Order: sequence, then C-alpha cells, then structure tokens
Amino acid sequence: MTRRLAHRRTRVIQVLPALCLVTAVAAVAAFASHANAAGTKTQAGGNVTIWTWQPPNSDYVNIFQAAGDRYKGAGGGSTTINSLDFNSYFTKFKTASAGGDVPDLMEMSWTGDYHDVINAGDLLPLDSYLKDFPKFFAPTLNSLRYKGHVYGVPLDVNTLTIGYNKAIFQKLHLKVPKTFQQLLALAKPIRKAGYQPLSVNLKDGWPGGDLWFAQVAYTDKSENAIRQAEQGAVKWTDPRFVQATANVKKLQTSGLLANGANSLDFTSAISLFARGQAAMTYPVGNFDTGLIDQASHGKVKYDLFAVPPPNVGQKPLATGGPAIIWSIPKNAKNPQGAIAVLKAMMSAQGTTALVDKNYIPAYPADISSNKSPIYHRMVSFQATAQTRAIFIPNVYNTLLNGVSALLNGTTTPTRLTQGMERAYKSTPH
Amino acid sequence: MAGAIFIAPATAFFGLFLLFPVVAVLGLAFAEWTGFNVHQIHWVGTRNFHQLYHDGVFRSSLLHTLIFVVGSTVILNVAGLGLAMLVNTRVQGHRFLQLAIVLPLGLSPVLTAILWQQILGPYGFINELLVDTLHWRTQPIGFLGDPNLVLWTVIAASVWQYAGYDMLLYYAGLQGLPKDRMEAAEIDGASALSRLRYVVIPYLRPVIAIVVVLNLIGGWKVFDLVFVLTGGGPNHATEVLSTYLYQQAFTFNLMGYASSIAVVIVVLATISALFRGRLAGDARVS
Repeated sequence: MTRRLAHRRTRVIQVLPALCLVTAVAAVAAFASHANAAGTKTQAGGNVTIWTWQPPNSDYVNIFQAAGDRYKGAGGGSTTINSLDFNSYFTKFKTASAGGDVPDLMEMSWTGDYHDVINAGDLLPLDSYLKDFPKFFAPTLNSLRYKGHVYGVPLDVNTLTIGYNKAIFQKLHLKVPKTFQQLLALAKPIRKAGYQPLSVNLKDGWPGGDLWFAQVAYTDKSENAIRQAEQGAVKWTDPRFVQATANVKKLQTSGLLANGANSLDFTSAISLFARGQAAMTYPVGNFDTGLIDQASHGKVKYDLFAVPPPNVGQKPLATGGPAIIWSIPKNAKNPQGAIAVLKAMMSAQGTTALVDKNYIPAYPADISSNKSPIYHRMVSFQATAQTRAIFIPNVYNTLLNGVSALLNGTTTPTRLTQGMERAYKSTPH
Repeated sequence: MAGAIFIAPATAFFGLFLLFPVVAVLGLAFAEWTGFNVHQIHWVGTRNFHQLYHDGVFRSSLLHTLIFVVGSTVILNVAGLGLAMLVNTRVQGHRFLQLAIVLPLGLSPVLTAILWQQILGPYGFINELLVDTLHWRTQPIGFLGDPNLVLWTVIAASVWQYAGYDMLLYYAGLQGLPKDRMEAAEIDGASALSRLRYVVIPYLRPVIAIVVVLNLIGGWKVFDLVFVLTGGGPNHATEVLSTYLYQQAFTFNLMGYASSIAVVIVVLATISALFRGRLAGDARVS
C-alpha cells in the first residue's frame, strides 16, 4: 500500500469514534424531533387510548372495553386498550412520555411509581373532576392524595383475607379462629392430619408485607401510624411496628406457614390450596378467587376470614386498598375523552359489570345482584379495611426483604424495624 | 470517501446502539433521575458511587456475583472439557450424549428457571419424591428457600444450561489435537492424567482462554436465570449485580444509582476480557 493510502487509512481509523458518536447523536436528535412532531398532532375524533397491565381478554379488560363502547355509543370516538406487561409498564410510559405519545388514560400503581410520576409532573390533577364521579370511599381516595391533590381515581377496591378449605376444617373438626392465638393453634392438628396449614406465596415478596400490615391493623389503634411514619412523625422502630413484626414471626415459629413458603410463588401457593394440600391460603382477595376456582375446577369449597385479632370479642379487620387506579397523563391528547370513559366505567351499567365479576366498586353501590357468599364476605370487610401500603419504596422493600429474613431466622423483629428506619433516613424526601 | 460512505451504516448502528447507550449510562451514573422527565436529570457528582461503597446490599450482590462467576466458570470448564473428552473417545452412545448435553442450550434462561423451579421447588419433583414418595425426609430441602443453599442451586442450573456450550468449544479444540503427539506420549508410558496435563491442556490453552473469558463475562451479567428462579431472594441471598441494578432502576426508579451499578459491571467484565491475554499467555507449544 502506498504511504498516501496508509496515511488516509490511519486518519479514517482515528476519526472513526468521533464519527460514530456524531452519527448517533444526529440520529437520536432526528428521531426525537420526529416523535415530538408526531406527539403534537391533534387526535381527531375523540378517540381514547387506554393503558393497563391487566391481561387481554380478562374480566377487567372486558369491563374497560364495554365502557369504551358506551362512550362511543354516546357520541365519543373509539377506545383502544393496550395491555402491557406490568414489569415493563412504567419503562414504556417513560419512553412514551419522552416521545410525547402518552395514553389518554392509564392504570396507575399506588406505590412508589405513583409519587415519582407525580413528582415528574407527568400526571393531571383530578380534583376538579371528582364531582363527575361517584363519591369514593374516603380512606380509599385519601390514599391517592399526594401533596394536597388527587392524581388517581380508584375504580374498585380489594380486601385481603385468609381462605380456608371448608372440607378440611370439617374433617378435622376445626372452627374458624376468633383470635390470633387460635389461628396459630391450628397448625398442629392440620399438620398432624398430613396437610399444610397456611400456604403463602412469600417468594413474591409482597405477601410478606401483607402479613405485617395485617398485624399492624391491630397493633396500631390510631389507624394512622404508617402514614405518620412516612412523614417522619413516628419512627419505624415504634413499638406498634415491632409488635406487629413479632406477631409475624409467630406464624413461622408456630408451624403455621406451609413448608417452603419462602420459595412459593403465586401460582404454587394457589395450587397447593386448590389441590387440597393446604388447609388455608393467604392472601385471598377478588384478584385470586377466580383463580382458585379455576385451579380447583370448583372442587375446593372455601370461605374467608380476616386475620384474627389478638383478643376475643375484638372486631376482625382485613387489609385492603384500591385495586384499579386510573390516572390521566398531563400531555394526554384527549383528557376529556378519558374522563368520559371513566364516567362510563362508573355508571350504573359499569358498576353492575364490576359487581357481576366479583369486583368491589370503590364507591357505595348496589351489590345485591351478586349472590356469591364469598363476594359478600369480601364486601363486608371493606368498610373497615386497613391500609396495606407504604408509599416509600425503599422502606417497603426493606420490609419485604426483612420478613423473608425474619422467617428464615436471620433477623429479629427489632432489627427488621431498625432496617426500615435506616431505609427511611437514607431516602430523600 | 467511498470507503467512509460504505461503512457509514455500520458506523451509525454501532454508534446508536452501542456507543451512545454506554456514554449515556456513564453520564447518568453521575446524576439522579427517576426516568420520568428528561428535564429532571440532576447532576450529583460521585454521590452514587459513594453510596455504592456504603450499600450493604450492593456489597453482598457483588460477592454473590463473584461467587457465581468463579463457581460457574470453574465447574463449566471442568465439566465442559471432561464431557468433550468423553464424547471425543467415541464411546457407545456418544452421539446421544452429545445431544443430551447440548439440548439445554436451546432453552432460554427463563424457561430453564421455570423448569428448575418445578424440579427443585418445595413441592417440586425432587422434594415430592423425597418427602411424599420415599419418606426419606419430613421437610422439603430448601433448594430455593434456604439462604445457604440457594446460590449453589442457581449455579447448578446455570451449569446445566451452559455445559454444552463449553463442551462444544472444547470438542472443536480437541479435533485439532495432533494425534501423533498423543500417540507418542502413550508409547512413552505417559498416564492419561499426564497426557492431559502435558499434551492436551497446553494445546488447548488458547481455547481455554476464550472459553474462560466468555464464561466470566457471561457470569458478570447473569440476570434472567436469577430473576425468574429466585428473584434475588430469599432476602437478597441470590441478589447479583444485574438483579440489584434492575431493582434500583425499575422498582425504585433510581436510574442514576442503577447506572453506577452498570458501570461497575462493565468495568468488571472488561477486566475479565483483559484477563484473556494473560490466560492465553505465550501459547506456543514446542
């Protein structure tokens, strides 16, 4: 090769990295400007795009679609429902938001993502629209209030209880426990008969948190300690939280938790109960009653009870909160259409559709059309359902991991709550 | 000029999908951002790396990743070479053996994880056999729930999946082994172990270097198998760098902190790649 060619080749190699970077930046800028241009186009015809993580063709999505059809029948445009995988839902929303192509109506998570999306300025405050909706249960709506405004409205609520196999209880002459001690005492006779006592999908993390919330419902008589702790007014090492944690530990030391509960996932836990191998399962709410019926082919007859209180005569309290929450992105092309679809979801027909599918509306509604005793049982717990949320992800995650460690015997109730306090202090707020 | 135009598409692809993301992540590692609004990226200097240093969960995930990397690399290479030599001897059924070992490679790590969950779960095949059928145990073995055992379960699942990959590479390397050297060593009375040590391994040294580096790099970025099999639990017992990164980025929306973890992974993987040169060494066989 001549010296001139060799020199030219060397120059090309030297400028190659810069050429790559410049080309990449130019391509990204061109793409972003195109996306922005697309996002600023006005959506004609009042069409509404909805994002949800509910599976396609599920009862929920059918209910949403029916509401969309009612909206169209009333002169609105068509409704497009995009069912997205939950694990990538907010990543996709971040991308859509950056590209100016957000949905008009989106299902919202009520934990850390909710606050982060609000702090990013990506959600429309819905306070002025509340008058267009039914009067939501106050605790449910308040749980969605952040920095003085409501950015999400609840469609329905759920309560978490213990499901028990009526046949096994009958066979072993067991009674529904009225106190926590009575619940713990069930472990022995159930195990002796060759069954697993309580099947819980602790591998998924969040049920461990719910075991804790179910105890806080009784140890915290103010019903507000968790909200106060989030504001720093109460420490996470408060004796009420430590006692609740100690009660969770008793579930394990009494032998109540099914073998290997720490590595049971959602499907396995339900399967264990549905196959008649576990006498009880937790948590049961309207999100899994259908699955239990399906998995057992209707063969397992079960009923529900709330995690019992410490003392006889004390009212049993379930935990619960909003199930489906709807928010409207700030840059939605058709927020008015979104509000109209929401109103259609909460209309008389929409409410009937919810009740028919065993969902509990987040507002007072006529539920007499649903004859299922399980459904009425869940509704009966709703009025007094206690919180099952910690809105600071770091603290919540410390709780979930801490319960796993607690049940493995590698931490103590005091150390767990100390970890939550440390997590709180290390989180910017 | 013509040459530059010719390579422009590849250059653009490389820049857009490789160089730009790396540079972006490197930048984000020095920032704080939830990922929701690009105008809310705040420069925080080295705070994320400082926090990493004090983060107990990060340190344990680094340790777990190190154990996974070293453990799986050693076992994979020993198993891979052993299986390759076995298949190379053309024993009866060697074709079936080869197929059986390579078959798991065709599965995705997610499918592998689901499969092993069914086998090793508390009510999976092994525990049902031990507890319910044979009555050898009263409690299931906590393959996935015992913090002292679970990381080795993950390593075992990974070795099961990728042993075939190493075997194929070593098998290809063994085809280039000079038969006259082996015969000469055999005639001179060298034992099988001596032939392995003084003939086979020196010849395979370049292959060993490549296979080890590929295993190391793969180990540093293991994610899907751990995520599906254990989720990083119980209580971070199998938390590795990638799953911790995922949690920070997509559960906590701490994109900056997650990016700093990504930088650590890239640095470690790069060091592993540089290790190849030392491992290959002067791979000249006299």
